[in-house]
Amino acid sequence: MLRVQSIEVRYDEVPALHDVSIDVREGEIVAVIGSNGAGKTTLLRAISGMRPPARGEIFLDDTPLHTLKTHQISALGVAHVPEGRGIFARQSVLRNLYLGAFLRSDREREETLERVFDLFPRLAERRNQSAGTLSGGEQQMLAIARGLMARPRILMLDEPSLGLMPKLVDLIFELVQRINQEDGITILLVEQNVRESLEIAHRAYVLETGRVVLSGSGEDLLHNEQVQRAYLGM
Amino acid sequence: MQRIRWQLLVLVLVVLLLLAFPFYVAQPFLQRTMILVVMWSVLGLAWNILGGYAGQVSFGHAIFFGLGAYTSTYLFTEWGISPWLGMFVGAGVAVLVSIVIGWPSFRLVGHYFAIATIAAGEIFAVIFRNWKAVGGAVGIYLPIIRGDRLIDYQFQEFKAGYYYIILAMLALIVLVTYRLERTRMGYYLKAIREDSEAARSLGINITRYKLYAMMISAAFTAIVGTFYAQFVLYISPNTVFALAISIQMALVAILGGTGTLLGPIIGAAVLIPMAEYTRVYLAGRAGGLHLVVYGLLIMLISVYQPAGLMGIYREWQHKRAARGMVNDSLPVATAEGGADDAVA
Repeated sequence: MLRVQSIEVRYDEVPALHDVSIDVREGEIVAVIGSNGAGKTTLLRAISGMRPPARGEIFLDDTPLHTLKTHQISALGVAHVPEGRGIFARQSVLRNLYLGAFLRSDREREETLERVFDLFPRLAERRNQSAGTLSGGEQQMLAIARGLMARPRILMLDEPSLGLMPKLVDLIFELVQRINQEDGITILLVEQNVRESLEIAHRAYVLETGRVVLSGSGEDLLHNEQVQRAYLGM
Repeated sequence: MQRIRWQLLVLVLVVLLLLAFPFYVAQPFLQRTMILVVMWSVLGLAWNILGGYAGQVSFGHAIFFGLGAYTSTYLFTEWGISPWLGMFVGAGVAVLVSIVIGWPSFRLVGHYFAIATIAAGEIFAVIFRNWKAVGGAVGIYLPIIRGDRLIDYQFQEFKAGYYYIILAMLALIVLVTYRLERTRMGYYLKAIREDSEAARSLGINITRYKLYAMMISAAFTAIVGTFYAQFVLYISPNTVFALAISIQMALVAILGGTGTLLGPIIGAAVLIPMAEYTRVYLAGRAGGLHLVVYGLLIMLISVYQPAGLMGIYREWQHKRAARGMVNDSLPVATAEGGADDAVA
């Protein structure tokens, strides 16, 4: 469904991604793992059009994305939940969710809202609270929920477990899996939390200093010696 | 419910007081000051749509003010076209120019956008200073028409005619702003102001919505430009394309509180009489003194209350609401939040 073909992305002439290719098939959870500065966030920003690639191509089915603007890409069904969540702290939870449904009709919006509240009951309880008063975990849930409000075909999550306590990390990964299985939404997950990501991912890529160094099924990578040594401390 | 009825009563009372103003205040200086207060309220609210709600601080709004004044005046003095018609032509010209300026400069963020608007404003001032066909640096005098007919857009005896025209404009822009706060566009603008990157990732075409805000803002500013020309009956590049106009528009909104409906009105009600009184009492001796006071005000606001006078009012209201909750558990704050979310 989503094909990234040998893209190169530069920040002020310094390349952050070299010749990176990844493939995401319909219905999959694909994880991109790697340490800080490996280029994971840059990859998502390239796909969503915030940092268009200097070289290479990106396709959603047969539509080229690398020539489109961010808002056009998002209209095609690519939702990007940025690192640091990007929620509107001074607006209410409900308002944040509504902003996510920018491209949807009122009826669709209310339907999706029902589903989102079903997945995240905490957000339903706090719908009139301003988003800035939520806890870190709740804010992350809100960011994911807001991504869902657009009814995307593919949901891209940038480090959803960052800065959360272990119990909440488990919950977030469980919710990601449910969204994939119950709603049939394809997921591209960027994470430093290697073990949990590989456990839920169908397939995964390992990114190191802007290059894909390994790829395979989540299961295989979990047992890969190189991965175990570098990321799982075994 | 009772709260709403009470608010409605205050609103009706304020409207009646405003409508009756020329009848209980006859002194020309006070009437003139009042007209200026209302005029600057409209200008502050126009600036607020772009600078407050969309968060794009402009110091070039004199462009639209000047274009409104010049378009209607030129059409009237050269071709005899009624200023009422010229007013709309002027608004159209200002909207077109706002697109030409906004399209490239919305790529700039924060300070750089503000700087670009200052530069654009100066360019227009220079062009009009050297444009002989529209009077160059001398400007244009408008012919005096007696008879005080509404159709002429001039009032020589019944000055209150000007007051009612500008009051109607205030009513219109208050209505537009009120609607804006409650429509999707208003929420998109707020989202853009808070985090434009996140807004973009949600599929909001941020350049387009900033442009919409700028077009509305420019149209209202131009309409007031026409009003100013008809009121003063003399326009020149140094008066209508002046940087001081742009700055005062921003100041009125910032002092009162940006991104609020009442802020710019309160700002104008405080700032304009102050400027007029210092101008009158210190006439000749210290002409620029009101600018010194402006400077001090800017410093005080930015240090103590960046949310403006409305911020002070809100804090007071919150404190009162908090006390109310303890005493008789009136859910004031909740009612407010609920109303905010009911309309999407």
